[in-house]
Amino acid sequence: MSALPTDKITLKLYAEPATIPPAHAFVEVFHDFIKAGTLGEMLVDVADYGHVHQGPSVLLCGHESDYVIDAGEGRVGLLYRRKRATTLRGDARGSALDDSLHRLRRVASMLEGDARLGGLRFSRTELALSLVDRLRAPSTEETFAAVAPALRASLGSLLGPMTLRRDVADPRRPFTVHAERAA
Amino acid sequence: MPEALAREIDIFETEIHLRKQGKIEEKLFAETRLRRGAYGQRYDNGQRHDGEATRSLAFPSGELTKGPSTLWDAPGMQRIKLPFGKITSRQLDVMAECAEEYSDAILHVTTRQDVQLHFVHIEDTPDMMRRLAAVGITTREACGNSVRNVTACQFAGVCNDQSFDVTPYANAIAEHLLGHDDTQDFGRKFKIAFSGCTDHPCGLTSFHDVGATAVVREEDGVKKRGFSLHIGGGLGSVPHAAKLLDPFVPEAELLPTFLAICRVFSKTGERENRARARFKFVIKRLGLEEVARLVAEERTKLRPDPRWTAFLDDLGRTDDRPNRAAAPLAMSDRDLDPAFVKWRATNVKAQAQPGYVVATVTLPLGDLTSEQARGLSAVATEFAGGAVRATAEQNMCLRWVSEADLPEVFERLRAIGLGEGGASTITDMVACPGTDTCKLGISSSRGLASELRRRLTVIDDRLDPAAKALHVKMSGCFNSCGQHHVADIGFLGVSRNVGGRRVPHFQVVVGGEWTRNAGSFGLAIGAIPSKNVPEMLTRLTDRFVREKSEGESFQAFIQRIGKKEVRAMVDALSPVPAYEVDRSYYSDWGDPREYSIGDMGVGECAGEVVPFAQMGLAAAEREVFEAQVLLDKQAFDEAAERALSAMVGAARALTREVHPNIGDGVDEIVDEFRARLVDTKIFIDPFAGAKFAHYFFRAHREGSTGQTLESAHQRIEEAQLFIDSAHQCYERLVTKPEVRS
Repeated sequence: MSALPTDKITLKLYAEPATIPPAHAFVEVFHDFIKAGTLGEMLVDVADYGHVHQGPSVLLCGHESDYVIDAGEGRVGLLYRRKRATTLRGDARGSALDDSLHRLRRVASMLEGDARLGGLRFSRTELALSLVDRLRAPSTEETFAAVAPALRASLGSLLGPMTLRRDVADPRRPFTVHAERAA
Repeated sequence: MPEALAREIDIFETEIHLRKQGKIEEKLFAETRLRRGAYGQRYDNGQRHDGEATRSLAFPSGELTKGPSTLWDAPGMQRIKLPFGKITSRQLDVMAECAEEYSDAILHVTTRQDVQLHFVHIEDTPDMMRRLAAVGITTREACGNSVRNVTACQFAGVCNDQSFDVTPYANAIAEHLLGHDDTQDFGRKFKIAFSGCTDHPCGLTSFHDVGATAVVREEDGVKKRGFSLHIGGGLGSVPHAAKLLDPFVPEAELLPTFLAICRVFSKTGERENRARARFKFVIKRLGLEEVARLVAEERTKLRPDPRWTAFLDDLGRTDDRPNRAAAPLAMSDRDLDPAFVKWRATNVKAQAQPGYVVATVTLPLGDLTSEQARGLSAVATEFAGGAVRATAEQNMCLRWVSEADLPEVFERLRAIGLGEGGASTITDMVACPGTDTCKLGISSSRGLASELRRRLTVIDDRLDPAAKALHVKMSGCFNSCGQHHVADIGFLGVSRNVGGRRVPHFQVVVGGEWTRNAGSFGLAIGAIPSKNVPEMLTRLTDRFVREKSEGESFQAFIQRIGKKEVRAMVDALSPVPAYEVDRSYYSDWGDPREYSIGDMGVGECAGEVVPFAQMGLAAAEREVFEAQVLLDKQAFDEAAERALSAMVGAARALTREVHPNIGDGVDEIVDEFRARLVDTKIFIDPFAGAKFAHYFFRAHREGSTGQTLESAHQRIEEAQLFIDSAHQCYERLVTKPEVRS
């Protein structure tokens, strides 16, 4: 049972700018993930959207989840997108958010370890979370108040004590929170 | 949400449940979902080649299907039908939401003014449809055997050259035919386009099932509105130019005339053979005169309906309303940002209404993100009357922009990455989805377009204006969704076997015409490996710039230098290095997987027979090219005969694979080809069926005398497709020896 009102969760870890390889380098790596069954989940295909501005540059599309090299907000990062309620992994700690975070961190580590990506590094001091389900999780203060405890509990495993900031720039965007390790 | 739409979506959701319980047959469900715009996508048969081998995709719902060979859980494409490409800001916001919540946060604009979302699960579609319906969008009849999106020139209503605004008429047709009894029993899809004039390419009326062009006629001193109707056009595997049914259908007769045409198509269209089921084949079979007679006859049988003329009382219903006062831009170029000046030169067009302009938003490969869609929606709300229109060149445009607001509009677009110029120039490539997501894709048209854009953008400032003005379009297969036939330079995806491995190729297509509503169709000159296409484009454009006469169009230039010259350029780039020398040729653009590794192994037997078959197919291609040269010389019978000869040669080369003792007699070749490759289904294309074989049989049956320009042109197109299909068949013979038995 998820502690959040929806299973449609996205999480994004930001890459350290000086370590980011060209987007096309990820295409081959993601194809290899499919071929080798590396992630242990149903993966379908890779889409290259390198031509769009600040978008999902490279998409690894799966049945349960997508993994995206995302350039949204003008910041490149690894975005995990949970698309549907799914069987939680044995090593997750009981919630869809925990499981999502686990998958994101695992793939981030794998990308960091891939020599073809030339020393790519992701920051572990901040993270963006969106609940991409406007019906169950509207972008409001009420949603923020309702989910903040769950976010602190779950994301604490990565960030420790943290500050949470809700994105209020455009009410048309999905509910989004930026979490950053407390100074 | 309108009650009828809500009910329609509820029914679809119920059908989804029933299909999951096995209570609806898969073919019926497939047509049901297609009629709602829920389409299949690549790998939805559960098979994917990962560069080494074809592997099964183990979707959780196992063998449950949403159509023949289409697995339930496989991601699909949702087409969103947008009559005349109009999208209000609110609708754009909702599509952005849907793209984020159900797709991959990308909206893709098609060449028929639709928006498509990819990687959508079938069970998410009813919710998505409800959200779209709540803002006035239906996906009903976006796919399937139905009247597809009714398209129209994006400048309708604001164009300086139009006879009148076709928007309210296109809207009336779209509304009237949606779900109409007379459009529910088609054997194939039916496409309609409107244009406000004859000269410009925005409406593309020459290749639609019905193309309606605005005409004003003066009768007794009174100007009356009407439409010239052309029927039976289409691109597809073999393009057909639409033929004039009626030079002037009065506006009050427009709806009943369309209904009568639909009835004729419904009654006379092919049902069994899908490959010959489009309206163009009805006209080919019955003749234009007979079709016109049948349309007139059906018109007399129609029961009068007040809706036929009711819309004429309020033609302003579809008008866009500007929300900013018209004002000139009172700054000289010297005082403006050079980037703005450059963008304005290609992307801004003055409207008929003084002080207002249309600004085209260039979308690379027709894509924009959800975030960009929201940004564009905000710009439209503030500066453009709260709406945009999608274009056939896969862009969007903002209409009713006050000229004085242009610099700010540009800045706002640039801030969201939509300030790219070059609209409708050589960098503004049009490409179908190709192998990225389409089940039928043979080559990566988007990968190629992306690569060409990347290279041309770098040299954009140095490009000669003549080269810059060219239109380049590409399709990943013979179905022509990228409209390569009507480009100055088109590319058509095919594949070739080289040393037992499959290599992605593109046919080079020249001679097409984008202007005059896409006035003529190009022909394929020859195939080159995908990786040589950028060099081919460079050589063609460089030569055009270097050798063209003053004011000479690209079509005229090609005509003048002759196709032999172009063929020589193609030949120079057709060799493929051996796999061991350069493996890059064996992958497609943007996809590191090996396109083919011959994973069935290349046996000694296959190795021995490869040269003969490939030589035979290559000779056949040469003959098709010679047929083109004869066509250019107006030698129509000879051209058709040469094209037939090419097919005979290809058929013999292929048949010899399974029957080494085949003789040289044409009748024998036809009979043996039929018996050994067609009747045995070896030649049958997985998607096109026996269509290409029938081209061959028909050409043999009909002979080559009494040809016209159009019939000889068509024979050549068909010969090329037959030979391409022979290449595919040969590939199957080599890589899957079991098909021989």
